[in-house]
Amino acid sequence: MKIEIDRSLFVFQLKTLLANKMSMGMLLFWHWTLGGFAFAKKGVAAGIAPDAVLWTNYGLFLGTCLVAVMGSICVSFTLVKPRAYGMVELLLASPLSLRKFAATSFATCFSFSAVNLALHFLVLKLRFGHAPAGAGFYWALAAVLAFAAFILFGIVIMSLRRKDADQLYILLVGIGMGTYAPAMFTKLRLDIAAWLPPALAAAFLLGAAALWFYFHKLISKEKAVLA
Amino acid sequence: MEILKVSNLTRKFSPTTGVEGVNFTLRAGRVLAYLGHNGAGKTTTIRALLGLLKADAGEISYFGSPCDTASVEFDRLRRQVGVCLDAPGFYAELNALDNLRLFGGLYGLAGRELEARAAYLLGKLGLADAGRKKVKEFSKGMTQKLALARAMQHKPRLLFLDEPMSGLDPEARITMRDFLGELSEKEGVSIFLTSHDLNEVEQIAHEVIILEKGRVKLSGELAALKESFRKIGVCTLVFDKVPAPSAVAAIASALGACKRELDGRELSLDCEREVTIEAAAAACAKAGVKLEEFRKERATLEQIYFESLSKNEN
Repeated sequence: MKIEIDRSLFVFQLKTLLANKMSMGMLLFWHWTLGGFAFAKKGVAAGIAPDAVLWTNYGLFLGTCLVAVMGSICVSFTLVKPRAYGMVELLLASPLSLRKFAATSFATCFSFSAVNLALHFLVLKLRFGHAPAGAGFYWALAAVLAFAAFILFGIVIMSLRRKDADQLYILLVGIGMGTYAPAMFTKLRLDIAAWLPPALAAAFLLGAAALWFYFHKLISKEKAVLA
Repeated sequence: MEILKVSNLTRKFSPTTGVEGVNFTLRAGRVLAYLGHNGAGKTTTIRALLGLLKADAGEISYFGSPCDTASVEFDRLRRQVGVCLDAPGFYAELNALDNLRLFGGLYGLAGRELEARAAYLLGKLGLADAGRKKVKEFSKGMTQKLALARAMQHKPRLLFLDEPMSGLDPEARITMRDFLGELSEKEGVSIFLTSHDLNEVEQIAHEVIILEKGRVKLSGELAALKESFRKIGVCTLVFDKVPAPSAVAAIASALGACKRELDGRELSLDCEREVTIEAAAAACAKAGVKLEEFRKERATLEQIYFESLSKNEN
């Protein structure tokens, strides 16, 4: 499948994300304020050297944040809200192909989140002298990213198929918060069985792949199906 | 040249909703007004013509070639079509230019060409100073004008406008009407327009289709419809001076008027039979008054609209 990005839509979607107080507010609050608070409270700022368990949990924390941002903020601002404004219908009535529209929306969400992730690493490195590392961290991150992809495909499919997709936004925020809150408010040094993150990563990856095939089928159809 | 030809377009949602058996042809530089009550099927037709709804039956030809509007291939033809749907479709947090740039880019414009075209259209529609203003600060009229600017950015040959005049103040209506008139007359753009504002439509439309419950109840050239809906026997006589009551009575009697109304030098008559200018002149001469002007009143679009719908109800 040839994947093409529409430059004007990509620039526009990034601008809408950056211009919106709500998306930026949520980004700052969820990723940086709460994240910084949780991380500082749990040890690193107190001078405890990060270890494998800490980084594994940090991977889960970071991944969950990505679920929230990529899912709720990005999908909301690239698909759900524009549909409410009547913009999605105009996009479908334009020469923009459905594939380009979907690919560009994904590219926007991934770019936004990748920059955010890189900033996280940079701040950690500058502030604490360490960047997250180790197999535990990467497996945890992979598990939550697979979960994010699973949720993301589900929500994009539902947003494309339904006009009243606003409630999905709340659902996604709930899922994000639900997985994120325990790590924050209980203890970050939660002991996690070594096999759990790879198992979760595999399970969610399978789910994401199944949804991807459905999504691919959907965007190969006529625009009339989605409008 | 045929810009859009629709044959037997049908899209039903239920036995009583949707559109059925719609036929029409829109030629270059013409304005077609597609009228009807709420729920008559106007928006459904536009959505089917744009491939946003799959039609149950019918054929659609764009620019002389039959095409499947729901197909991926139709995307190429969309570059020649401008769209203004009922929802404005702007991202309110961004400014007008950013919103225009998105759609300009989607339709193949870029760089200086895009900027120049956006600036030209904003200026033309009286929004020259509003380009950098956020759309959320726009009034309804400004938003409607901006939507029209967006639809016209890529110089389409065909424009679909779904109720572009709704909610506009008189000044904005005039700007919009003048702009649409200019587009069709000077630039040869064909316009498919839905509206509830019959007075505005009357001033710009060349052809009219009146829809009721998804079916075409009346269609044709507006001028011809006005003539055919003219009330037989309704006419106005203008004299050189205010006539005496006895002269008015004599003229009315000679022409077989069942109703008469004198307003200064103008006498309006509603006669039982067709009145010719010769008969009117003869009646005036006999009554000793000089006839300066003779008018047969033509029906207004509003009269045509309500009469055609009430006829069908009966």
